[in-house]
Amino acid sequence: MQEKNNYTLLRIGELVPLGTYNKVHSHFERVINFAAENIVISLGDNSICLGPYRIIVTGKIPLVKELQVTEKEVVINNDILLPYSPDKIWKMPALQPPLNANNTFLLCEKVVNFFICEEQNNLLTMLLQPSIPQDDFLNQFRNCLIKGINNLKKKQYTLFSQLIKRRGLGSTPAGDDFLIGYIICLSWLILSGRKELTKQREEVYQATLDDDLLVNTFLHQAYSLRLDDDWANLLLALNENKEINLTKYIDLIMKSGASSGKDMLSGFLFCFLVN
Amino acid sequence: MQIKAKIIKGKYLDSIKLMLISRELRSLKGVLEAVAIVATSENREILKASNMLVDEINSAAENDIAIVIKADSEKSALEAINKAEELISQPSANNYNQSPIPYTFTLEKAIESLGKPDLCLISVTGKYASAEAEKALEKGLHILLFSDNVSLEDELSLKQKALNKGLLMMGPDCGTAILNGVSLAFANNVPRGKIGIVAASGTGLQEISSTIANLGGGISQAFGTGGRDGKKEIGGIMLTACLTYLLEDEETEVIIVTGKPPAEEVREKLWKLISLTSKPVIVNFLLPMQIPEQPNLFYTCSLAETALVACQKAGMEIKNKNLSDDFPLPPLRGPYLRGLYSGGTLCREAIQVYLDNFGREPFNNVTEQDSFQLTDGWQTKEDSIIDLGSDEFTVGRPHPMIDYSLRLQKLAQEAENTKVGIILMDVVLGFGAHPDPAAELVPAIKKLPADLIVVCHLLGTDSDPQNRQKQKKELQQAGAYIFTSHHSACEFVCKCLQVYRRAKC
Repeated sequence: MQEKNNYTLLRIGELVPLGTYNKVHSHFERVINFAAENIVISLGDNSICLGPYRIIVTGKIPLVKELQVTEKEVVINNDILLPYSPDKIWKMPALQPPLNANNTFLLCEKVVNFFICEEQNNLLTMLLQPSIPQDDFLNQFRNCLIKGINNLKKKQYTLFSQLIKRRGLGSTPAGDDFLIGYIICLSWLILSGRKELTKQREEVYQATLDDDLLVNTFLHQAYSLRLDDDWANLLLALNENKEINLTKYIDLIMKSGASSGKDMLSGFLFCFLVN
Repeated sequence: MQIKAKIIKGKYLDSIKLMLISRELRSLKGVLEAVAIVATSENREILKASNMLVDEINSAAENDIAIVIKADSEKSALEAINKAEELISQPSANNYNQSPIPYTFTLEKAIESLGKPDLCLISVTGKYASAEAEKALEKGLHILLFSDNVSLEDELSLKQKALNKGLLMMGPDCGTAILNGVSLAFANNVPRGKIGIVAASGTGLQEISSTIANLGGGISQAFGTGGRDGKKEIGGIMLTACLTYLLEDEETEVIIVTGKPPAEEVREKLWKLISLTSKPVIVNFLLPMQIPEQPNLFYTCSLAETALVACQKAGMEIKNKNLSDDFPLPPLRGPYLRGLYSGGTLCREAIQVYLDNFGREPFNNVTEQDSFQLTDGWQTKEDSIIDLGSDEFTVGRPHPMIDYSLRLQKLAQEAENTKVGIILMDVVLGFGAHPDPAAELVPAIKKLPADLIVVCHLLGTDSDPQNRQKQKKELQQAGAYIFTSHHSACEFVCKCLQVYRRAKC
């Protein structure tokens, strides 16, 4: 049954539940996602970011119909055996409140300025420069964002989410990514001491949850701050005022997907600006 | 116009692939818009609002991907759909992303990663600019401060510090410089040579340096001081420092000084410095002025003439001496001029030429005279010339030299007014400017009424990245009158207006 193979398990996320998965949620060139109750478990190659619900292997991802996860091994298609030891379990870096909140927030402001003034090709810049003409679709999408934000100003958090989610370009709609980034920031601010934002986070999170398990997984991660490696290290770099790491992880996030990373960063930075 | 959609069921295409497909489809002839989206009910509302919702999408499942194409004809739309199908079935490339330009968030890290930089170009938003410039000066770097909204007090403090350290503090609001043959910010590709320039700086420096290059000459150094350096409060610190450098520089044989007229005390300092040298110094402060009689001091009235005289004084054999393009005067449909400028100095020169011809300024957004001031640049009237690079138009958006969208909007707006008979624009080439202005302008010009005259001044050299000859040809083919000399373009426009008005008398 178990044959020799050219795959090696690089890392397995600490929150990947033990069990057997055979319901494919989605299958791309570099990653295959399995539905597991109310989250998605991802099996990907080493171009994919490490994360709590991810299994990363070397080699090209085969056509996977079944994935078994035990305490000692991962088995693909009842055929490819990938043993792992405890040191292969990926744990998210521990996030504490910022060492110096003022310095951290000043650094975050610089990131905002970079994003708006230098990077520019993102939702945040689109929001702050409403007069720049776009394609019809993007114009309408921008109108939806603005309507959502108008409700945010009135503390109508549910409506804020409903007017933005499931809208926009991409295989994961840009609006969803924006909201995920927004919730990551709320969770981070709450960790930093802004407990008054808890109600807002709850409402936005609940209103954004929907049918798509993959989006729900990201939302859950954002809410609980059980983040993938790039985002976890970004927040760590902010908290510890480590500029060189900040640069590195912002770069990685911005390269994530066609625009998913930038859309999430836009949501994160927008939340930082308004809160 | 035709809308077509391709629904992708059961095939997983990640966002990068979808983005690449959309981009490829948008480049097809006849395709006006192409988007790739998940067919959620919310996205369908957006499509409906954009008049892009077609029946095929209504029958898609909520998680299907829809590629929606808007094209100018049925044929173009069908070809795009076929292309979409072909692209969907292709395997993806391995490397989606271009290699990143290295960046960092702090000056210290930037210096560390570069080794021994000697200049810092700063373009952060105003409220951070002074602090960053201060830090860079502390580190011993020359500064090009592109940012504006820096206070006069900060400018003075920075320049005094720079002077004490023997460093350059070019700016704030310095858009151009050429140092040791390296073009910085918005600048043109010009050869090295014997002529040194001290300018405000911006399109004045660009026009002069480009014209010198087009006449066969070259630049030793071109410094930008920022638009306020000549004010009494700043005292011409950088103006005099840069001029002193050029006076002592062995590679510089002729010097040009240009910009808005400096305060009288600053002018006195300049005349005194110039009197200590025998090098020819050509001065142009954009309006007529009395200057001391000194054998090596020359005053010119236009940017083009400044370049020509400098080349002559440098003893150059001048190629293409005739700077003025010439065309028969076309009839105008209406009495009024609208000048739509991206360059501040060029805008001022246009205003000056108009003033010389008609005895009064046109309405504009750069004047200090209340009677001709346009408080809202969008509300042009009669003869108006506006600087679209001024703050009211550029807060929170790219400069019009990079992004033509605002200017195209204004062009369309002015075209609707049948009393506007002639449009005058600058088209600035060079590093930092739009990579292909003709690609933006030609479709817009073609849509204009045939009897609306469009005059463009094309600023640049044949070595600029945009291919100046190609730009000229395409704009001419679209029906625009193209001038390589800005002064000539302005004179031409004024003549057209004069002929129209005389005929109506």
